[in-house]
Amino acid sequence: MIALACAVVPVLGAIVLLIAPRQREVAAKSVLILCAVIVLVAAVITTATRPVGSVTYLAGQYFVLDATSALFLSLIAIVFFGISIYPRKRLSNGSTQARDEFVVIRSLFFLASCVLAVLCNHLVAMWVLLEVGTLTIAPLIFFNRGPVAIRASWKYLKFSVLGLGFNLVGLMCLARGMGGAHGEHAVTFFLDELQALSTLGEKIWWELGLALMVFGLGTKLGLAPMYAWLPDAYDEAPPVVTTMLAAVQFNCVLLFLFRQVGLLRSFDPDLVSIELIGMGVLSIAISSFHIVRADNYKRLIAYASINHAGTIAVGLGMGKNAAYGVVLYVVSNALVKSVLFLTCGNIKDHYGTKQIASLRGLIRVMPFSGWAFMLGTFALLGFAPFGSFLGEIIILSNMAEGGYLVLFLFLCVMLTVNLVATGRALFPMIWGDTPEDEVEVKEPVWSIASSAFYILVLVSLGIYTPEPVTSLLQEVAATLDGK
Amino acid sequence: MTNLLILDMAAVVVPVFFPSWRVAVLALGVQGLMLSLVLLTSHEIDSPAVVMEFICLLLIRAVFVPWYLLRKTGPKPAPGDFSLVGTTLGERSLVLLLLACGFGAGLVMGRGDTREVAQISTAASSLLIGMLMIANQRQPAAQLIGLFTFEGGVTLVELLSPHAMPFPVQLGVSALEVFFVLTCGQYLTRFPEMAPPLGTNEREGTR
Repeated sequence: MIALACAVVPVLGAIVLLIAPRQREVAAKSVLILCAVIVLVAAVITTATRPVGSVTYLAGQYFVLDATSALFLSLIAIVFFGISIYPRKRLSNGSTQARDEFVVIRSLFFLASCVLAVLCNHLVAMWVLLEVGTLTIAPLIFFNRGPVAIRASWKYLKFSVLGLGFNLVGLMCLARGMGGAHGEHAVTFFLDELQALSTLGEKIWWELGLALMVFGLGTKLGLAPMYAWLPDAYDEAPPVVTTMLAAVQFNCVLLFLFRQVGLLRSFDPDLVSIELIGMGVLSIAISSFHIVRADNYKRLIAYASINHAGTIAVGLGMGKNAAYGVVLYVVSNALVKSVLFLTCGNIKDHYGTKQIASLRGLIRVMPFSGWAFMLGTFALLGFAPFGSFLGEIIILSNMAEGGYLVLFLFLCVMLTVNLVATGRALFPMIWGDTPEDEVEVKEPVWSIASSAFYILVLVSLGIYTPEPVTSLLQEVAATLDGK
Repeated sequence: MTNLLILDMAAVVVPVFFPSWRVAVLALGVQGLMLSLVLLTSHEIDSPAVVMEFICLLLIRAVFVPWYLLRKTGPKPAPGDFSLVGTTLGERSLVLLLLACGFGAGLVMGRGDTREVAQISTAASSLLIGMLMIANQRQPAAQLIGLFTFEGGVTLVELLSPHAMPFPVQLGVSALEVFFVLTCGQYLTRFPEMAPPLGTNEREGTR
């Protein structure tokens, strides 16, 4: 039941802020931090005390605590804790606390919906919770901002509703296949009951359902061809909102995909491989093209996010041994994006621009943010000793071992293109010659506290992963093959 | 039930050929009414979840959605400015083509069962035309109608499957519908800011 407290606490925090109008302006940030700390502690206790291989059902059958939900619950809690300790003035990108309280209340409801989605054992309920999260966060993208941000937010909402709509149609096709033309067979959306079935019924229906489900979630993850919303939304949203989209919501949707792929692969292990690899390859190719052309650092990182989503899709499509690399890569990816998007907020606040060409010598002008940005960029590019390096190596080596040589070559070429393009754009921004009139900014240490926290976790994932964490990652990887 | 589906299809297509904000919003209400009647004729009203779904379709989709959207509308688009899929012959022919595709999908998937053929055809056509409205138009108001049309198609597919959703999940689905409409209302008041000036080719999201 401690796991469910992770959802109850943020809701209580939001309610306290809603019913205490006089104090809420002052209390908003404190309540956010308090809730994030409680959720983090509860998530860590839940994960640490869960016996290996155990599956516990909560609140009847509606919620489940297994390896996958435990891992994603902890990941979300870690990311959200970092967001909560991000400096106050950048929460809403506004100048008053009154604006922050709106962001905090919505963020807490968003966190609760994400936690419940992660723990959910019913596919339609999980779908509802993801859509609730989408509707909660969408207005935060344009809150207190101009027409370009409103358009980006509207685009995000449109694509999300379409993506989740396709996914629901897919689920209903699955139900139609299971139930027969006149409802002669029982239909369920509970994951454990679905896994216990011997067949999913008429093949034409569940194959159509599967295609729509993957396409819908691909849209929500920002995979090509339906990726157009992602760069705009990530670029225009305030840093905390971008981080919530890129590292919290992204992982909830990914978990939904893991659940669906794992379920269907228990009926046929080779299912959806081609679709996932196809979407992944297309995403990597398109995002690499945009990374080469990027002139805005936040947008560049947004395109790199599409690139990473593509790598995850390719790894997931390969299944089998690459699954462990995929899970490790997913965890690292969430932390890398959090470091970079939050640091982007610091940089934008100081320079007032997102144009790469206007920035030089970041590491001398803003030492703390410069270092965080540099380490984040290294992790983004998959350098050692970060966890992303290890994840990428596992995926690539399994690709070569599995005989996917064309795919292996393609990924190697794209990795090189990305390395050169990102380095050419971002390295002068970090180390370039500083203009003479540019003076060093006295940054307080706490301005990068959240980024430092993420980097610490990232490095530890790459250098030494404790045995309980490794076995948790292995358990999650095993579920991806429907085991 | 076939008559109800024909009326639902008409509610999707009529605003395409007679474009006006008021007609489009009222057609959404008609779609909601038809969906609730389809539920009534195709499912046994024997569980709290089905009752909840019926109430949701009737009260929220048929009544609340048009009322709320009309109430929230700021300056209405001038009659000549509002269009759901464009005004050229090619764009309108595309609607007919999508209708044909929808019916083709119904024939393939329904496999001779008249009720299924009709329902799948209508659902597929709603989904495709809804997507066309979203993709083809730069006016957010037209895209909003497209989103609701698409959602209508999703609901029809939902009604096709013999599901028995647990009551708490159905309650969540209904609450989500209200939340979705309220969120769209927030955008509706900002649509005049969002719509790019006519004749411009402004690139979005760059600076």
